[in-house]
Amino acid sequence: MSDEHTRADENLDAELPEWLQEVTEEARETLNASEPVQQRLSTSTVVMMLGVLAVIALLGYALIERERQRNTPKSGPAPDFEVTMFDYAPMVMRGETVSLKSLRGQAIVINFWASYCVPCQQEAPMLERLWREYRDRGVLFLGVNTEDPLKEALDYLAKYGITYPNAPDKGARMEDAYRITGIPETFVINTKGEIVQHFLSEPNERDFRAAIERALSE
Amino acid sequence: MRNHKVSLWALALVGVMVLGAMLWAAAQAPAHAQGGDEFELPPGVTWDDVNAIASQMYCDVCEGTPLDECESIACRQWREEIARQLAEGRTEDEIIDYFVERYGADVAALPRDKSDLFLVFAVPTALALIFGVIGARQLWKMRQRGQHTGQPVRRSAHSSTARPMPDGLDPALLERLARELEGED
Amino acid sequence: MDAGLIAEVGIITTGLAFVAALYALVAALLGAQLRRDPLVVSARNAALLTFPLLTVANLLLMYAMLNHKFAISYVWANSSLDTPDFYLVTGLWGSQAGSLLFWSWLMSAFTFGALLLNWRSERNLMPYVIVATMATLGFFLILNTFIENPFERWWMDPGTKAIKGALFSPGAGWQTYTPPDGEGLNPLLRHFGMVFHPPALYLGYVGFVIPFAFAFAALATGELGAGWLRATRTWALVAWMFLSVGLLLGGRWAYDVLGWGGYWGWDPVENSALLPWLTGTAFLHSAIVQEKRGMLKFWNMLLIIMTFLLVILGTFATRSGVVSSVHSFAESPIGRPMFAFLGITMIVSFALLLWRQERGDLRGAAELDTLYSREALFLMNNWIFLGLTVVVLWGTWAEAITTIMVDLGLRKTIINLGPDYYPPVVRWFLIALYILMGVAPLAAWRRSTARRLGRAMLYPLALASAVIALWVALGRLTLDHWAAILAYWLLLFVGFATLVEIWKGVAARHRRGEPYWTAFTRLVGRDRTRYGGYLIHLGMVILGIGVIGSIMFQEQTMQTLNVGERMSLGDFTLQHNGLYEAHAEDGRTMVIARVTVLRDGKIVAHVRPRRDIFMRRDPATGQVEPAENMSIPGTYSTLAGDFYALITDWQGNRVTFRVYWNPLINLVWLGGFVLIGGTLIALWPSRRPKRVARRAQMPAGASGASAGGD
Repeated sequence: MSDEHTRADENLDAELPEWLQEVTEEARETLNASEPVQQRLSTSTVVMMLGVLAVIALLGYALIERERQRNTPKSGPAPDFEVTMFDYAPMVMRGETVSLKSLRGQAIVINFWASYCVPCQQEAPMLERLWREYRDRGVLFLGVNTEDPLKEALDYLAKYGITYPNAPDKGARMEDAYRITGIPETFVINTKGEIVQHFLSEPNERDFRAAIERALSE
Repeated sequence: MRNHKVSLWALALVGVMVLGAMLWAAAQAPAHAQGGDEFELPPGVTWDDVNAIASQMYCDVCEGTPLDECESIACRQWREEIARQLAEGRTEDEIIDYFVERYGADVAALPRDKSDLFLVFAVPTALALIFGVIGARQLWKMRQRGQHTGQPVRRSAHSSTARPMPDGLDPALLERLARELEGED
Repeated sequence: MDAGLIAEVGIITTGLAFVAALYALVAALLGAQLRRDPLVVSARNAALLTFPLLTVANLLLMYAMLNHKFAISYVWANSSLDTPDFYLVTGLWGSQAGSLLFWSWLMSAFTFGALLLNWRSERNLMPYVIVATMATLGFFLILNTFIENPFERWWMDPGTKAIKGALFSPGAGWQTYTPPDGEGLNPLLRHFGMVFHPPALYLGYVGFVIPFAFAFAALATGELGAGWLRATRTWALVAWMFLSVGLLLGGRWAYDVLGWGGYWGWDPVENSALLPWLTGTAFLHSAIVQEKRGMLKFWNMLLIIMTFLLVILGTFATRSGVVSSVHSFAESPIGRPMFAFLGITMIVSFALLLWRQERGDLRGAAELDTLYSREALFLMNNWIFLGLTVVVLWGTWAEAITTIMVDLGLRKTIINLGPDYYPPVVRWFLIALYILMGVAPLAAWRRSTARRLGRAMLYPLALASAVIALWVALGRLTLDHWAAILAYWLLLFVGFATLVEIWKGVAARHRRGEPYWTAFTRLVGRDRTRYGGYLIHLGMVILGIGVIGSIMFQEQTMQTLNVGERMSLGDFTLQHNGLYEAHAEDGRTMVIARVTVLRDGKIVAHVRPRRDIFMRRDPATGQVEPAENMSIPGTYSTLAGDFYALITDWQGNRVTFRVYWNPLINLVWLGGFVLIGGTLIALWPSRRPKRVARRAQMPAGASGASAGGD
């Protein structure tokens, strides 16, 4: 129990029980305090309230950011990028550095892949075939390698006989820009630099061709 | 002639033994030879060397798992790459920097950039100091009030009383009493 | 019982519970503001009603799991025909929707108990207690009813044969569809640790809502004395115990099953359980000061509010994917509602708290006499716990914070902090906390001098130094391990200080004629809180010694061996004897290595590290394929440490082993047991007649029913 200070001095309210006498003493003292109650809020209160609001803002922003991150761009202007191709002889544009701007005027098919990813392996022949078919019509296929060390990436290219340009995603910048959530992911971009279609996992060949045709015609 | 026959038989016997050994070895293998493809560590590199570096890195594929513990194929490949680079003679710093450049800053457990690293530890140090100072001041002030009971002491913006409020009193009750007592006067 | 019936009754009971919670919240608020008692009573009844309703809902879900009602999509997603019964029960909290329902049930149960037990003794607080608990329960039921409802079913359109999951029939003619088999429980959950770890944590989290509700009520009504503290002391201690158990079990599970030789990874989900534990521990200590001397009222309010907010924050952070973690639940839409709830609770709680503070209602009843008094040390304790909490929060949220700064253009790069950040920072706070753990019990309340405190510390310091000197002399520790020596010295000091305090009590009684054992039991019996607390501290010391040993002296190595080859680690040698395959009844394929462990050349154990490969039916192709792959260690355990072997990789009979030597690790679990034992002692109700009843002249039976009585 809390300490009980007993002061038997005051007899003014003798009929009140002792504990209540003390209470009234307190009340008098509080009332008689010479300094008026300040209306301003103390600094610590202001700081704490600001802190609470800052935390809420932080959490809200983080949530929105996370949701935005999950929204892979499926239309609208394609995010810009700059990549340097692998130094791999059978490949076109070997060693070259390109950016989205430098490719303006062509339709682009960007395919994100990694060597251990099974659906990537399954779609690789189709991608190479379609590249050879659409190459002369002004469609550029660009493969972007995500997780592989150099050796595994080149082995994969050799294994599937890939000749369209491929580049490592340095610093995972392209993955961030295109908000990749998994692999494989394919983006079809038209000649104006807008995303026409986004494919998650292996695209169905019919839909894929349709998207490329659309990209060429726009 | 006899020698030829003997050596022919010997050769046949050896062949049978070798074949038998191969079959026997194949039968020993578990049906699911899981666990990745054949990878030999380069000479002079041990798994401990690889793990010493891998434990400071994160695999992009498995969230939150350090590279030396992650089981995914990508992580295995990364560990093999570390082994290859160690065999080439690269240092720990060079290897981690290479991975950071190729795969992004998320790959390293602590930021590689010196100023970032400083920030990482400066923030908690600053916080600890701030709390320490505020805490010490609070302790000191409370002690002052405790030592000099009876003197009015400024307590921020509140109205001050010399004595602290006894515990267990309902402020609502207090106000009511004060009003009643005023009425009585 | 048909799956459709189960689902429908489940949906109804959950929906009714939500309505009841909502009604209780509004009625209690109105009843308190308008001072209409009948409204408050009806609010209470509605609140009590949520418990039987949710019990029915949970039992139904459990029944559905046990009877393989795969038409219910939650059952399908978390079990299969060959899941053992035991794990069918634990599947109840296997994933989001079920765990939310389970949480809601616990919340309703605790509220049921709190309301009944404290109705008469804390009558004034009751309306706002109902408001706080029902707001929390109501929020979780919103999630459970409208967003993540475990009673969703599979529906099939008889025409197109399309299958869809929904609460109610998506259209006319759609029929309930029952899949032939379920997906199966996540194999990582098949461990006794995982059976008890989530419920223990949930009990801890939900348990802390009750003291928060009382604190909220105290702030709202202005009854800021020790009444609310006393009422909730037991609840807080019980919640703390469950949270501790949850943390220990989580560590044990990680050690046994996750295959990385460790038990704490500073993962954001782990941190989200640790943070409320930190503020909760501070709260338990600081509350003692308020009960004894009426001080630190603002601190107690702040700490319990923070504990509650950290519970909600932790749930928000991990279930919304805002912080990346190994444990992350699958992407879920509950992020926004959780954020809203968190935001509202933060603003309301802090507004109330600061309002009361500004009015001066939270002023203490006494002041500090000296800096060497126990009150002062407890105050320091609060600051250190607060600092530790903030520092861990920085580690978890640095990525989110720096992302915002990058977006605003204030920074170029995002900082992502991993486990390497925490130990160098956290250790200073832990050192300070352990120092206080040793010194505070030696300090007296109110008046104490530096000299008296110093004298009390002499014996324990001397004993600790003696033990360390002995270990160094015997060669168990070498001087280049100076950090470990200092750490052990500190821990031993704390241990001896606690033991000396206990000894002093026993000796005092013994001098008055009691035999030692009776003196000890009577001493503990008379002041269970205090001696339970001492035992908890001893548990923390033992745990601390285990942690230092297993972290600072851990050795590990990794090598590929052919059959018959050996590898060595310190004094140990591991010999690979062969690899074989086996099949378990739940469909697992196990790849097992036969390994012999030698120490100093002598065989000490045969262990079998293995890999469990779980098969899964691909829903698209219908084929069985390998899914999860778990690494189970082979361990040779002694008090001195664990020799721990894992299979990392294998081709044919060639196995790559990873081997750890974790010294003193079993002291971690032992310390945990001692800690729980101490908590149980502290919680044990005393048989003394309640002095409160006589003195306060309350209606008979009220304080006898009070949970936090004495």
